[in-house]
Amino acid sequence: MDTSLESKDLAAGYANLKVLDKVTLGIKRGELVVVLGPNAAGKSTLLKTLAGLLWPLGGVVYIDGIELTGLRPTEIAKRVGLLLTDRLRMSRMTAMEVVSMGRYPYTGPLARLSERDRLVVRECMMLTGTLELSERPFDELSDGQKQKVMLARALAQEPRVLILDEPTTHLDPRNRVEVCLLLKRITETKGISAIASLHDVELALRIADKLLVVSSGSVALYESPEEFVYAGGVGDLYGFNRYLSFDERTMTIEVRANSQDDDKLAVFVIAGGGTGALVYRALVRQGHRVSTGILHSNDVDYSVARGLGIEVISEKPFEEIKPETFASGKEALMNADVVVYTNPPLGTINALNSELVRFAHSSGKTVINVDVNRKFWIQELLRSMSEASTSVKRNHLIRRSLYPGLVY
Amino acid sequence: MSSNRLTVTIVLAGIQPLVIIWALVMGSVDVTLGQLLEILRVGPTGDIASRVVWEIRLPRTLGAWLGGCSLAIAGIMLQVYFRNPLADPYILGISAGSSLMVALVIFGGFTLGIMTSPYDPYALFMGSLAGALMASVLIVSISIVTNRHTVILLAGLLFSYLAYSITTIVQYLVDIERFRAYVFWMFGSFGGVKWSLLIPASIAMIAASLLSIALAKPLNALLMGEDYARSMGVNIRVTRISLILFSSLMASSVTLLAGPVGFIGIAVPYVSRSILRTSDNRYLIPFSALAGSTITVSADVLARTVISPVELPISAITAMIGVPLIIALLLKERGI
Repeated sequence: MDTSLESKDLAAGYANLKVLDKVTLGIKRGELVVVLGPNAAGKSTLLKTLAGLLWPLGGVVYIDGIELTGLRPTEIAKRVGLLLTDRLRMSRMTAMEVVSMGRYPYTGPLARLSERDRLVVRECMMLTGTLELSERPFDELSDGQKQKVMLARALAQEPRVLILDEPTTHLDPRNRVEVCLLLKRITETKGISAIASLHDVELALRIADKLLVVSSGSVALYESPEEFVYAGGVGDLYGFNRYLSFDERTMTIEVRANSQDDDKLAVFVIAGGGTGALVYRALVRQGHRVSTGILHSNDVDYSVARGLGIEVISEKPFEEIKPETFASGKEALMNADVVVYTNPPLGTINALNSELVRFAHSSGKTVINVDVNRKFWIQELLRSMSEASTSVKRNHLIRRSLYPGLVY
Repeated sequence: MSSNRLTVTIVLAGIQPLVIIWALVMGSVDVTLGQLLEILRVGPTGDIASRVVWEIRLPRTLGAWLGGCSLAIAGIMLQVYFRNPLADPYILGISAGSSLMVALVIFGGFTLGIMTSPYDPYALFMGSLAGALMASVLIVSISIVTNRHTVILLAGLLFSYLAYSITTIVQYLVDIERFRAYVFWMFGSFGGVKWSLLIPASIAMIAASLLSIALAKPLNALLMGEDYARSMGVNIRVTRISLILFSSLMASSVTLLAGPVGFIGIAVPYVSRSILRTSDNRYLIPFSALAGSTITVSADVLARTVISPVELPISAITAMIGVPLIIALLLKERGI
């Protein structure tokens, strides 16, 4: 039996509200499937139905080929483990007592643990890295530790399938990644299948074997995250707009530049080789109108800049900068108030960028030199930018005072 | 750690005979320990001391013992189920329902033609049980339509207000003699416990208490909330129905024997959690049962001896013992 979790024509929802219809899917042994979808699309409803917490409105769910609704609660518990978002408080319970509760379907009426039960509990705590927390009160653990303990508890049920509903929502980035990696390791080493909904698209694309996308009442299964990305799925799903964009190559979401503020400056950044990425983000965040060049379109700076919605003067990969491209670079530079030079590594194909810097100096532009390898480069950049901003404004004022009528 | 919990529980169980003997000795009629043992050995005779022990002190002490045990268990179960440390049978309207039906029985002769006299103790039992079940059915129905515990608790509270307001109207309309009988009942006292009442109530309380221990395991899982509990194999429906059934059976038995006895249901589970330092209901239920018995029997003894021969309402005593105890515990440690 290769397929652990299967559904056929499943309709999920509540008595008076059908949320999802015609859900047919199969999850193989050891696979990690991530469920994506906008809020209120029905991710939780689907997961609860697959876990047997909600009765299907139609269709069937099979666990290891056995129909879920035909099983008694304890029989389901031996096959399906659950992890939810909830921030639990379990007053006066130790981590190990919480994990031991996972043995519920195996223990007798007084829940006494057998030798084997104890062994499984220890093993699951070891696997999740929580064994050293055993005697700690559950309530005193961090959110990340709590979720790992709760995961150990689900594993103690010795399930074939793990169902996780936004298990990382309350966690900090590091714990978020840790829990996801833990999940991935468990599916790989123990042959447990997992289906998890995540809010974090970027993380989902990095860990998922397959993607299950829930939107407008139904689901679509993608065999790999890449398939989903190249089908333009991320943009369709989350409806990105002029503020947000998704870059397919770096699999990142960017906040676009969209400043209409006249007070801000037009900045031309001469970058390349990854020296520009952080500078772009800082300038865009400050609200400046940024353009950049001359980048090769296989440069990481190019991807980041495009994601941020910055105007890019670019050249084809691995080709020397052509005279036309250089000319448009000069033009873009002339339109800017300030030029930022990020000291990119220069080789034969982008050597003209140093020419561009010289041109900026000779045409009287303020040139800010940034070395991103220096410790306080960002403070320096921001200080230079605000100085530039006052001097540019003064220039505007001087220009206006030549025509007194305009000032008064 | 768990062996400590067991030891404490066993010690508490061990002192129960002493508590009961103490309660039987105390009172306005002097009975020495030797006399008491002799009276108990010989069985009921027409002698004054023997009648005091057999007809008054023994039934009321046993009633208080079982009643305290029942209230504590019902309190624990409802607190875990509603995930609220303030839940007790009163908040759910079970006692208000009992009071209403008892009032209807006493004042209205509302006995469905089964009983001949409205003062018949079994009529009161039926009334009290009917009222408690009425309140429970209401609470469970509401808990089926909504999973919001605030709504469920509020519903219980509102039902209580409604039941008490009807009770007030009924009280207002009836004659003074029946009114006094009712007010006496409402004060709450184990003084009126008769063997004829005690035996059916004991059967209900003992059965419900023993069955409640079987609920310890699902109740532990319910500490994580219903979704998690279900995912670990708890049959929520069966658990919820038996839990409500048992606690209403226990609460109505107590209400029948003594009228509404406040505070045990909240205070004892809390105190037990603090002493045992656990939320594990497998330890909490037996320990709370014994602690509830001890406290209730002691409160009953105080109620009838403090300003003897006048009796104080037992709820007043339980609150007077309980409130300072809880405040002390709260100050001693943080969190619940």
